[in-house]
Amino acid sequence: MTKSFRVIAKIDIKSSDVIKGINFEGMRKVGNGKKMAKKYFKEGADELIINDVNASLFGRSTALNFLKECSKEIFIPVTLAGGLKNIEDVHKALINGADKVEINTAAVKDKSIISKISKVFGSQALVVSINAKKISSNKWMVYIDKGREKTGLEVMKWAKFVEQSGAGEIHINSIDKDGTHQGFDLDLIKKISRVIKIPLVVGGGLGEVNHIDKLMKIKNIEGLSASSALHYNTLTISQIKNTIIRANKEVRI
Amino acid sequence: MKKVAIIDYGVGNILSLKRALDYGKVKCIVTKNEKIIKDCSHLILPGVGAFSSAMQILKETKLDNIIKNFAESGKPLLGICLGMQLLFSKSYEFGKWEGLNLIPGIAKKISIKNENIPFVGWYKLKTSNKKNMLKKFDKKYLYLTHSYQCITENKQHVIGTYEVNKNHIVCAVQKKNIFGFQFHPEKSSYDGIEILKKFCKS
Repeated sequence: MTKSFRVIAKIDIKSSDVIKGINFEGMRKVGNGKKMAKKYFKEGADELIINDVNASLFGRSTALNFLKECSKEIFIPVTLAGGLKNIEDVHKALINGADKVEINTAAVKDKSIISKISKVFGSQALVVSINAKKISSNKWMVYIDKGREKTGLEVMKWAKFVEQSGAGEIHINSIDKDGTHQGFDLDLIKKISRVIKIPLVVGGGLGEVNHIDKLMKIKNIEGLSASSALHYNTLTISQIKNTIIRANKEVRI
Repeated sequence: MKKVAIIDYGVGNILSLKRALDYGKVKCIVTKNEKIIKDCSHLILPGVGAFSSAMQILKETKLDNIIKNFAESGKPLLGICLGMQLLFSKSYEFGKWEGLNLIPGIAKKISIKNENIPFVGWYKLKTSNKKNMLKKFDKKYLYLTHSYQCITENKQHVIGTYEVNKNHIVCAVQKKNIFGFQFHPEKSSYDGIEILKKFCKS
């Protein structure tokens, strides 16, 4: 494979601050949004995910202005996530500087939205994120609304449906590992990587170099997303990239 | 005085392109006005989405002739992503469509065994052997996203490719003053901005 492995910085935004919790709970301010976004761009992040945390609670996106501000100084692909519900929301995100949108709750609530967005804007513009909670040794369930609400959907079945509906990419997050710095849910990642063919980006749990070594042994992953590890300076983007290079994978330097 | 016109026809992420030029301190204007375009020294045709609908808009707004006239004047013209494909003679995206016919060749669906489309991500640029504006950026990673690839009639028009499983996919073309990039310079970090600046100085 000649495509380079993507290291994606993910920031959860509340008004203009970056916040972060553990297991999707106990959100704390960790810094200024624009400053952190710019820092990750300069350090070599391949993409930026901006997650508008307030949006799905209040049903509106406050992130558009943030997105516009970011586009002045950040020249890598940007994905907007959080509270996007319909074609109009997606259109607004794309004309305000986003290259892709990421949906989760909206896709579960109205399953036809995946194919609708993909038809209007192309599958490359649509990422579906899946927040997964482990319920038994080999089973994970989909949660929505920032990990608060059960859906009754099984992750692997849902991932297949999402792929067939025309999503361009899946971003899988482990709720159990989120913010813990204890390592990825490798079983979850292994399993989903065998189920889908579209690009897979994985997140939740990154805390040390050793976690990346383990992740690199799994085939068919196109990228990882990091937030906590970067926000708390546990790891830098160049440390992450150097580890990927040591595993003989191609990465942009 | 150099000034770059970015064609505004409602297709694609124009804001990012303008911001990248602003950052590179290149004077630019987003417009669909014929007179303003004529007065500019450089023209950029952006674009994301479907070939047929983009071409239809260009025809309805008469921007197709404005672009052709600009190209004929000898001033530098750059098509980015779908904008590059529109420069070609034809596209086979959901049917068969006429393009601007400024570069002889076609756009057709990418078909490589065991590879899914769209191709999205950072790929290593391989510049062609002859001297060209991208030479300095050989082996740099650039960001692109596409499902259709351009095939030139004349191999001499290819100035950059990237490789997927030993297949060489065209990602940059040049015919005299007419340039096309499949990659998004405005999303390819500092290298992308340097490339845009280089075009604007040509």
